[in-house]
Amino acid sequence: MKKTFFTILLAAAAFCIHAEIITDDVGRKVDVNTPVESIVSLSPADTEIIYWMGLESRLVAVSTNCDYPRATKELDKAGSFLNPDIEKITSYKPDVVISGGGIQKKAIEKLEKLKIPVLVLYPKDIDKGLIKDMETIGGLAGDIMNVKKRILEYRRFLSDASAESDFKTLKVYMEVWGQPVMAVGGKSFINDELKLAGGKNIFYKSRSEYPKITPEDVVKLNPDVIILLYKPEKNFKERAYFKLTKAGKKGDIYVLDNPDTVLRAGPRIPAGVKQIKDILERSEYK
Amino acid sequence: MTKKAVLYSSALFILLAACFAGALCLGSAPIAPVDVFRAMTNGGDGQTIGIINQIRLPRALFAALVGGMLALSGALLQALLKNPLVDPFITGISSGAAFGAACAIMAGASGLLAPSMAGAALAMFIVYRISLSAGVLNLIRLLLAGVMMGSFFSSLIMLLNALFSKDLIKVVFWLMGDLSNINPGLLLYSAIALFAAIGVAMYFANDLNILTTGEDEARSMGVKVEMIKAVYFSIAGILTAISVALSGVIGFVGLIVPHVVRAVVGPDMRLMIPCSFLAGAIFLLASDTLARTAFLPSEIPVGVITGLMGVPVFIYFMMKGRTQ
Repeated sequence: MKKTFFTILLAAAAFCIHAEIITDDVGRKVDVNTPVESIVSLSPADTEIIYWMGLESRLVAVSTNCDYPRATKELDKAGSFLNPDIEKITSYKPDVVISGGGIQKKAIEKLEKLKIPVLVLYPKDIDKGLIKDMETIGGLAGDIMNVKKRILEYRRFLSDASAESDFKTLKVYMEVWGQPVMAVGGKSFINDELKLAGGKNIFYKSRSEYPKITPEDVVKLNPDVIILLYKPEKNFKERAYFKLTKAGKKGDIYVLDNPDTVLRAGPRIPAGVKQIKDILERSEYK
Repeated sequence: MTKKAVLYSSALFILLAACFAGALCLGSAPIAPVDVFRAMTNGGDGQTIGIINQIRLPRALFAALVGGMLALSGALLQALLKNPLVDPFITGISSGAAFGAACAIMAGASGLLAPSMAGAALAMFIVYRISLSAGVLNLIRLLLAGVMMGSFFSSLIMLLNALFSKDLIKVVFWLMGDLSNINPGLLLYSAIALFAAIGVAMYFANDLNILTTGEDEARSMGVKVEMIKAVYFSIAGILTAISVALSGVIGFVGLIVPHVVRAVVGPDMRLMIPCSFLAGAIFLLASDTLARTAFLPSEIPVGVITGLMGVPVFIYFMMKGRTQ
């Protein structure tokens, strides 16, 4: 009797765990046995999504760059974002590794050779990219209802943070780095954040995510507001290509208080959108 | 000698002026040459005046200054070390500057000029100290110490990368070299440093000429060998440090330009010094103009252009030298 019961139990377990083919953000088809029990996240943004979707109990290790939410500090570290520790990752025998893509290419190849499934999540916009990544990560636990609930909640936060439809659209220049001068281009999810906050990116036509631009382009496109996504030098407002724009003349040049909320494609984007929206409102009523 | 100097200098001056005109007229904002001229005399609309006088002109001046500094530094080091493969970055100074900049970026500091200058000065001091043996500057040791310190600082940067990788990409970008966002307030100080360096270098140029024939010969002819070596190493080091701190590591200029200039004007340092400076200025100015206009709307790293333009020219001169 006991033997039959265990046989049925094993068969049921085998039925529940099934190999799923997931297409990641770079078009790779990855076999993952879901629901997963152990995840290693190598990307700070994806770690935040894992927490948002309520999968943190399955998180066995993260990268040293994963610093939000605070609870990540207690987790094991499997190398850094740029140098993932393959040996350590392998030692956890994770069901899946979540990678931030591109720069981790070598680590991804090594993990694939070791038969560890790696999902590359690198969204380029919010609607199709980030929401899909949330579905992918949430889906790893197999609880579809929870996935739907969390995404609905996320959309509500995003909509609450976004600008009213009658908000006057301002031309905005967002600078990612000043030496060399790099802007947010049209193919970045940050472009979407700006749109939601009621701004129009002056480099929305650029085909790359973060193009290296010439300063006179900024003058030519004459933004109403300039937002810096990094800590600049002391007298940054004195830069010639800032001073020659409408933004520079009015003094509408801002540095984000918490750039991670904007720079990480994760659940804190609504807070990032709100930061940008507040800046735009402040400058519009000046 | 005088006739040759006047001839080469005039030709290079004309070429430099033409490159300046090109740099001022070309850019992502279409501005006609007439309007460029008008803007330079403060005529025309405010935006054009701003683009020409506050963006293109300072950038062109910086490109010429940095190019001149790197080429001059390369020419002096090649003569001092009697080695045509030496470039300013072989002295370890650029790696020292990069280490200073990397520390500043990782620490979240805002300005990079002071830390990179400090890093360059530290590297220069260490290399100089290691190369001194009983009060004599050993040139072979100098070369080895430079290479060694370069590797040491590169390893330290890699260590920083392994420990705090968050902002490494910014260090990588900085290392690629860039002239797009240099504080124009530094123009005057850089120019003073460069022209002072040229003045001192020219004053002792004949002694350096003699020194290139051999230290013992130079000593027997009354040249203060140790002083000359220290002076030229310091000039080359300071010029490299300033140029790296201003614009990152822009390759090939300090190696290729002195080679080409030597092939044309000969090894006399009295000619080599001004001509290397002018040719370096022309080369980097032309390269930077191409870097910011060839692939609009994006700008490409100027180091890519100096490599693409410089290497074929270098090979041509090498082949020409071989056939002769």
